[in-house]
Amino acid sequence: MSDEKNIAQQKFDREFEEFLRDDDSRLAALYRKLPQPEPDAQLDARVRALAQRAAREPATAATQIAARRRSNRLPALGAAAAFLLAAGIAWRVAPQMWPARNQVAAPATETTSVAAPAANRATASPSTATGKPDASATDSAAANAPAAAVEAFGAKASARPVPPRPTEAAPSTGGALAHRELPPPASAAPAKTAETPAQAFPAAPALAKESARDKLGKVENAASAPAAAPLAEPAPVAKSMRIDENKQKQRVDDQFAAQQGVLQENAAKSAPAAALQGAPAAVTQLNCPVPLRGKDWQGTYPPDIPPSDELRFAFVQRLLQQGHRELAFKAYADFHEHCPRDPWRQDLLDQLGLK
Amino acid sequence: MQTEKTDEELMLAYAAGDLRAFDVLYSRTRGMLYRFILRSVAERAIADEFFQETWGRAIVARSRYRVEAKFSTWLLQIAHNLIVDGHRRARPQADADETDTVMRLLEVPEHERPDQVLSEFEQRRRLQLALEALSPEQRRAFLLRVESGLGLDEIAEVTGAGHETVKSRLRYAFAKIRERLAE
Repeated sequence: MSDEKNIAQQKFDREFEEFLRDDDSRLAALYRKLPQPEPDAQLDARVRALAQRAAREPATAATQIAARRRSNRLPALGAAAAFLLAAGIAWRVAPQMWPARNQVAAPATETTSVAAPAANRATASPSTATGKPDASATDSAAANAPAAAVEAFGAKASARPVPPRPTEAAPSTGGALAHRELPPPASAAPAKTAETPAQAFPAAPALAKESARDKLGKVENAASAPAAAPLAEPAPVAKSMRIDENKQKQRVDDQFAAQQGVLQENAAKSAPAAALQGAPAAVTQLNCPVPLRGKDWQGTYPPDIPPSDELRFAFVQRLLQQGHRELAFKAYADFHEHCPRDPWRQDLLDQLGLK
Repeated sequence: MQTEKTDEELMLAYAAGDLRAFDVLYSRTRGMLYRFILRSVAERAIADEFFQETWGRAIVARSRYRVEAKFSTWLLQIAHNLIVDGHRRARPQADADETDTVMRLLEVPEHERPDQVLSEFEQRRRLQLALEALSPEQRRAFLLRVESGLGLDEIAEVTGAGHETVKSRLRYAFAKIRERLAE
């Protein structure tokens, strides 16, 4: 019994292996004799229509995909465009707002009608006398002290009292004056302008000339420094402007008269000075020989040169009295550069250390 | 010219936009696929639906087709998944009774087996009945073997079953059909 079972099992296994191995098994042959149904023509047509429709779709599908991608990019592009627009507007507007902010930060320029234009001119316009490029506009507030001094001087000269400037109105130092005298960049500055301050003084004593150069260098260095220490106290300047007008004028006249002769003698002795005085054509004279407006002068220095030698000397003297020795030195050189016919006043030279 | 190409080449050509390639490919495989589906679901309307859906899925997925398997295997896999999802019938497993039946059939003497004595027509009829009586897994495995000519590994790939599982299903299907033919 077990033998038959084993035989039957072996036969089954053999047939099954044949069924798995090849297609010509008896069962497979019988299966192939079964009806071979196929899809009808209608079903074939539907499937072929599907295929044809799909074959025409790629362009459409690609278009839809591209449109979808474009629509996905739109928000990002919009955000980028808005950012660029904002950045562009800020780039254009911000520089216009910065000077305004600086002016706000310097209330002294707004307290009087003269000082503000002085600061603006110092920062915006080129120097008409020397042709030097003006200093940068960064220290408009720093221009308050010398501008106020000149303004006060002009006001005194015109016998019009100037209201006292608030102490906090001029907290900075004489940056505008110093900046104006900053040497231009080497590539842009004319060679002559670099030498003019030293040449503007009498050159008889060589040491004096070297000393003047040293002092000028100090002034220039001080100008590039954050502040000039001697000008850090504007309040006394404002107070000193209240000095009686007649008294001031009288003192200027006296000083001028006292030093007139001495300066002329020194000028006669000094060949370079005489050469300078004898060659005024080499110097630009835009502000100096203007018709004397005298006491009605409303300008400010810098950039305006006081129109009369009297005012120029008084201005230098005022700076000396206020303790701004280096600025006085600088202003005196500048005045003489523009007005070479001005006599050297010995008292001023003495006070400036140019003996 | 198109007829010389393999099924895989034709499918790639159709994916590139060659509609004639699809016609050739469809003509080659339509009967085999349709019979596999029809004998798996045993209902013509459902078979038509599955047949169209199978081709529809193949067409949609044409750009993703890669020649990593035979095209017929890929197509039958799509159809198989549709059939499985459509049926959702309880999966009859080969239990002890089923095994006994198979063993009993094996004990029948060859000269007494009905397939030796019945007419060929009757044998075809009984074969059809036997196919309908098979469990879906066994029937599909059997159809993939005899109708599509797939080997064990290919059937395993189409159905997602293991090699031995497929072999077992085929073995039980083979035994049942033999039993039915012997009645």
